[in-house]
Amino acid sequence: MTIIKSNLSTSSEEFRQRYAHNKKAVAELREMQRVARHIRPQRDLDRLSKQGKMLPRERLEKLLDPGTPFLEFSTLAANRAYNGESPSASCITGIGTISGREVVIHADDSSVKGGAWYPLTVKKIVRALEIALENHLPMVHLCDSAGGQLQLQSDLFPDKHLAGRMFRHQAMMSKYGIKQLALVFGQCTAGGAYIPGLCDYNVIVRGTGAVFLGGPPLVKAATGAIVTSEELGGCDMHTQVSGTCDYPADNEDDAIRIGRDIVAQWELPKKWSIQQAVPEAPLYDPDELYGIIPDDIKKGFEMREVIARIVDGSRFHEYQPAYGTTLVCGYAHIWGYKIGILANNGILFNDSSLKAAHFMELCNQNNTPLLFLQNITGFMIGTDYERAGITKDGAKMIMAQVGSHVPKFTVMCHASFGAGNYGMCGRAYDGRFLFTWPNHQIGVMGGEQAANTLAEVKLNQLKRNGQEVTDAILNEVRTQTLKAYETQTSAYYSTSELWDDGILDPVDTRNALGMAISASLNAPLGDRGYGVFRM
Amino acid sequence: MSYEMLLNEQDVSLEITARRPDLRIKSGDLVHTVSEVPSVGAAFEVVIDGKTHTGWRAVVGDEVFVRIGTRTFVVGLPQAQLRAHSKGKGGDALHADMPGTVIALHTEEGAEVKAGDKLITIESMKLQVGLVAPRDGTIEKIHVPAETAFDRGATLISFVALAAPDAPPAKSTGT
Repeated sequence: MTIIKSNLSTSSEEFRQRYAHNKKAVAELREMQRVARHIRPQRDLDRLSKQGKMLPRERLEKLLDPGTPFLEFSTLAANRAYNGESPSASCITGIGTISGREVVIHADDSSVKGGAWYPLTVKKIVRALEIALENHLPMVHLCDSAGGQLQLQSDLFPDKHLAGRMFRHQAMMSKYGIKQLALVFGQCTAGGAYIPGLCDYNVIVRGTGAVFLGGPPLVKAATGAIVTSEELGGCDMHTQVSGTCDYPADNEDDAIRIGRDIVAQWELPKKWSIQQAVPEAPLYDPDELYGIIPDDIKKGFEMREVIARIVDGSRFHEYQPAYGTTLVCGYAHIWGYKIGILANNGILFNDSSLKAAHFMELCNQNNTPLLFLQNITGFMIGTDYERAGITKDGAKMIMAQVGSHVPKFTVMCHASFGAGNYGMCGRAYDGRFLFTWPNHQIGVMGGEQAANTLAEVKLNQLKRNGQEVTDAILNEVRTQTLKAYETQTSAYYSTSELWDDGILDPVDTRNALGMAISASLNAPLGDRGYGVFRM
Repeated sequence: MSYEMLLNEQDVSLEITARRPDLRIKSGDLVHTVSEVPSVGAAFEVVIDGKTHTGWRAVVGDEVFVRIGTRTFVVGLPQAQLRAHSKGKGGDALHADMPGTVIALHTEEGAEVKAGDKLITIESMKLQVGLVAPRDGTIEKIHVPAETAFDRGATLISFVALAAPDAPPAKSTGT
C-alpha cells in the first residue's frame, strides 16, 4: 500500500469557504443532537425524580463499562415527525461495551410521554434488533415504556416490519444463541410485556417495574376488579409466583449491578478472523474533511482526499487506477481492519460499473469487507451508453453487491440519486451499517429534474384534456415539487425516517466505522455465490 | 540500470553503475560505493564509501523501514496511481469524457496555465466537475463557451502545441 498524495490546498479560498460552511453545518448537527438527547420539559423530569427513576442516559452511563465508547444510532430519528414531540423517536439505541462484551442497547425514554412508542420508535427498535441479529451481538433492553401510541396504532401495529417484528426478532436471536437481557425499570404493558418475556434473562425493579398484558385500568374496565400494579405484575409476584421475571432488584442501581453481572457470565464471542494490521491514525488530518465537502450538492470532489482522511496511515492500494476512473476502488485498513473501498469520483459509466463488479468479486474472494463511500448522481444515460449496455452493466454491479458474502458498510458522503444508490449499497441492500453526513441528499432524482419532469407531464395532461396551459400552472407544479424535494432529500429527513443509522460528524466517520466493522465480525460470513450476471 | 523509489515519501531516482566488486550507486551527481556484510535477521552492517554502519530493517507490506544510527528511513515504490495518471495524458487539448454543459470558464484564450490549474467546470447528470490543465502551457482556443452543451468527445479547450525540443523528457519507470 502507498500513502495517498493529497493535492488539497488548505490555503485556497475554496477550502476556506467549504470549511466555514461545513463547520457551521456540524455545529447545527451537534446542537440538534444535544437538544434531542438532553432537553426535556421540567414537569417530566420532576415526575421521574418523584418516582425514583433515573433518566435513560444516566442508566446507560452506569450500565456501560466506564470509559468505553458508545456508538449511538439515529439520535435524530423522528426529528421531522410528530411536530417534534418524539426526540430520538423516544428511545436510545446503539452499541456499547458491558463487562467487556460488545452489546446492542435499546433503552426506552420515559421522559417523553411515558416512553410511549410512536411508529418511528418501533422502526428504531426493530432496526436495533436487526443489527443485533445480523451481527450476532447480544442485546440489553432497558424497559420503561407505556406501550404503543394508541391513536397511531395502524402505523405501528399490523404490518410485517412493525411492532410484531420486535418479538419475532427476539425469538430468532434466542434461537441462534444470541443472548438477550431485559432490565425492567418501569411498566411493560401489552406488547411491551413480551420484551422481557422473550428475553433469555431479565431483572425487575421492586416498586416501579411491572410486566402485564393488561394494566390496572384495563383490568378494571374489562372485569371490574380493582388491583394495584404491584399485585398485578410487580417484582415480587413475577420473581416468586409467575416466573416471568428472573432477578428481583431493590432499586435501579441494583438492577444495573445484577445486569452487568449477568452479561459477565456470557461466553465471549468467537469473531471471524479478518486480515488485520496495527492501527495507525491517518497521515492527513480528518479535520480537513470540512474543507473538502462542497457546499453545493451538484459539485463533485476528489474522493481520494476523503479516503486519505479516514484510513490508517492514509495508505491505499488502488485497484485499476487507470480504468473506469469515475469509481475509485482499492484496499485500505480502518482501525487495523482490512477493507475494500468503492468510492464515487463521478457518474457511473459502463467501465466504472464493470470495475465495481469485478472489485467486489475480488473482495469476496479475499474475505474482505466492503465500504461504499457514496457521492453518486446516477448511472450515465443517453443513446451511446444504452447501446453500450449501461443497464446490464449496472445490473452486474447490483448482482455482485447483493451476492457479496462479506459485510458491507455505507457512508452517504454527499449525493445519492437514482439507481446509483442501489449499486452503491443503499439502505435496501442489507449493509450492516449505513451512516450519513449532514450535507447528504437522497432522492430518486434531483429536485430540478423531478420538477421539470412533472411540469412536462402536467403540460401533456392539460393538452390532452383540451385545457388551457399557462406558465402559472407549470410554475406552480415546479415550485411545489422543488419544495417537497428540498424537504425530503435532506439528511435530516432521511435520518428522521430511519433511512440510515444516524448522521455522523465527518471527522467521526473513522471511529464509527471501526466500531461497526468490529461488531460485524461476530457473525459468520454469509453464503457464497452470485446470481446470473447479464453478459 | 535506473530505479525510481520513494525515500521518506520523496521521489528519488537512482542509477546502478556497477555491481562488482562493489555496488556503485549514482544519485544525482554523487556516486557511492556500497558493500553489505553478510548478517542474519533484521540487523545488518553495511559499508558505504568505506565507513561501516550498523542498522536494522523491517519489511511492512511493500515498504521497508531502515534504521541507521538514530534515523529511520522509509523506502517504498512510487505510487501506482500517479504512474498511471502520468501516462497518455498531457496532450494538446482537453476533451469531454461525457456529454454535458459548460457551467463556467476559469481561463481565457492566450492565458498561461500550470498543470493542475482548474480551467473549466462542466455539468453532466447533475454533477459538476472541474477539469484541470493536463500540463503547463498556453491556452490556444476555448471551443465551447459557457452555458453551452457539448457532446461526448468534443474538444473543450486546446493548448498551443509544444515545440518539439521543449518537450519534457520521458520519465523512465525502471524495471
